[in-house]
Amino acid sequence: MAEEVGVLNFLRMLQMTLMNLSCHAFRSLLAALGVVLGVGAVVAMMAISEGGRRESIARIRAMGIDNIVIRSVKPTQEGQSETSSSQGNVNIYGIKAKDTIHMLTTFENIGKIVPVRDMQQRLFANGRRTGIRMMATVPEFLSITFSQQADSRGRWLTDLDEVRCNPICVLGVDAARTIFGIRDPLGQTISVGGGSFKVVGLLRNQRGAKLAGQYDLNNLVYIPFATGNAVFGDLLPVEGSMRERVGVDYDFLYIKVDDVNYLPDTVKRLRNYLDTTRDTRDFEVQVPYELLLQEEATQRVFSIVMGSIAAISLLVGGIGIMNIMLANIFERTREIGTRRALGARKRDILFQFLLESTILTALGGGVGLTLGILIARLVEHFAHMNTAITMPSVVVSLAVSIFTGVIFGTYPAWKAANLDPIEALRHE
Amino acid sequence: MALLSFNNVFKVYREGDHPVYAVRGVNFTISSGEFVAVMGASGSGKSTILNILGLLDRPTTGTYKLEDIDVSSLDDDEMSEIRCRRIGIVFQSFNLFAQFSVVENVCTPMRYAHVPPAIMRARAEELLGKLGMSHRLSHRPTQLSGGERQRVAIARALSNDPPLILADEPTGNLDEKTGEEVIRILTTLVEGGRTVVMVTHNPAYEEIVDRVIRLHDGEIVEDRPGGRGGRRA
Repeated sequence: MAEEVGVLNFLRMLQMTLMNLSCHAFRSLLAALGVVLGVGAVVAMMAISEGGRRESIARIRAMGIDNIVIRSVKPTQEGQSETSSSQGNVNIYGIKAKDTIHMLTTFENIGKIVPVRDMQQRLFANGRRTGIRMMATVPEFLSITFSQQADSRGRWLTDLDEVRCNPICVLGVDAARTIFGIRDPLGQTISVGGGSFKVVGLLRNQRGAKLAGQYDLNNLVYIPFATGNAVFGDLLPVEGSMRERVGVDYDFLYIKVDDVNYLPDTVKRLRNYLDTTRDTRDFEVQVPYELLLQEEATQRVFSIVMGSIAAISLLVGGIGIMNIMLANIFERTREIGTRRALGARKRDILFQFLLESTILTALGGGVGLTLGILIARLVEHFAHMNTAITMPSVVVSLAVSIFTGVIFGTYPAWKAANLDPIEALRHE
Repeated sequence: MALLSFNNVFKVYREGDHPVYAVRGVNFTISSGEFVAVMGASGSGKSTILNILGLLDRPTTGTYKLEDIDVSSLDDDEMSEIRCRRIGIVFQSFNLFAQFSVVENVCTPMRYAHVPPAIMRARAEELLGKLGMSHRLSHRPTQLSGGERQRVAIARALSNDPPLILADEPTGNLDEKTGEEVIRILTTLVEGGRTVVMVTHNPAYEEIVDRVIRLHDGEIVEDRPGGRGGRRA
């Protein structure tokens, strides 16, 4: 019963407090503006940074945390292996088949190697050249990149396609949309560099996921590895050059390790092997696990910066609240005296003004949160950036707003509670 | 039966090194159901005595007993508790809260006494009804006349059913006719068994109270029955 009365009285007090604040609505709004803008900016920035973080982590995860990605890189001019013939210049570099055989036979921690070859072909759609590239790869590519088939009617590359060099392809969902628009791509044929490929399936990956951190997985065309070699040969023309051709066995290698605990050692040995077996540096090793650690470290720095900005903006907001509350108390001195004369204890007055400042900042926090979400949505819509409002950011921003009200409201409330009732009653 | 007593009460303020005596050795006893007028010129100590009676201030020396409790030695919370439940104060300038309705104003002391909201509202409406304010429950104080405001202030003072009502110049801001109406309400309260101590400048009220205490320079110079006292006797 006593608890029920306490709750009801608290609700009445809450109502009274809101009435007090509504008497000076404009002033209350101005007082809370600092908190509104502070919380709004923090929530929006957190949403944008979280969206960016998730996107980059998805990108890294798509490369596989227990994977090592090796990319063939064209060596710099002085160290490059270049031969001239009547057909033009030929650049031969990068990871060779013998390297993969060595890796699989001598590195006990390497379980699987998935090769990808860039066929140096850009696709055309509606008579225009697009950014869509063609990659030749093997069936294990689907699982190692955590990709999925986007259409249940279709299929992915199979071992039989490899054996038979089937002229088929699978399109990334974005590539399919660019090439075919609203038409059904399955069963259609695409012609690339003299070869024709029947579309047998669609691939989808998380937004932002990239092949070796370079090409959007959803915006590629995949053909069987053997088909690529059979149709386009060992030497491929270089984009934008009539005379230059490249001879690269594997543009990308996805290497899956068996035990992620030994990943750093395996990476070290791999780098050592590749460095010692070639004269020029024609490879680049990417370790998604290391990238993830780097990303997390960057995120921590960003969080500290964000936290500092949030602290400063809420400090400014809090000072605004304190200022207004002090002015409020000065203006309501007589009311405080009257309340004391009617039987209010010091703690009743303290609680009343603390409640007012806390409600003011909590409302400011709520409005700021809404503003922050709105800004994040606008950024997502107009700047095409990923944003993410997380529950912790919502809870923390509201909790910090309330905390600001308590901290910066305490001194004015304490001052009000300790006014001499007689002096307060005489106040004009 | 004695409701309260002052025993050799002094109130001394300091102005620099000099003590200023607001009240000097005041002694009196007030019984339950008495209507007392405290009179005197400005600076005579009336307000100080009223503040001490209302537990808004403490005597420098001497004792103040209310219902046989020495209230001059209580701590701030205990004084607030007694002020809330045993004393009702009516101010010259009403001191109503402009942002709240008439009913909410009357409810305020009950809120500090932790009265359940439903009972609080019913009691406020009943009190306002008795004072002829039923038609003004949801009005704001600024929408009321002076006399109506003072009636609301009296209802607020009565909300926790205190035995002692302190009125500081309750008719000071009212015209003669409205003032008489307020005095009539206070008289009714006395007739109902409450004790009313009223600070006033108006000599006309000497005739309608039970007792007149006149102060000069912090001392009681006269303590005699008023006109009502004579009639009652």
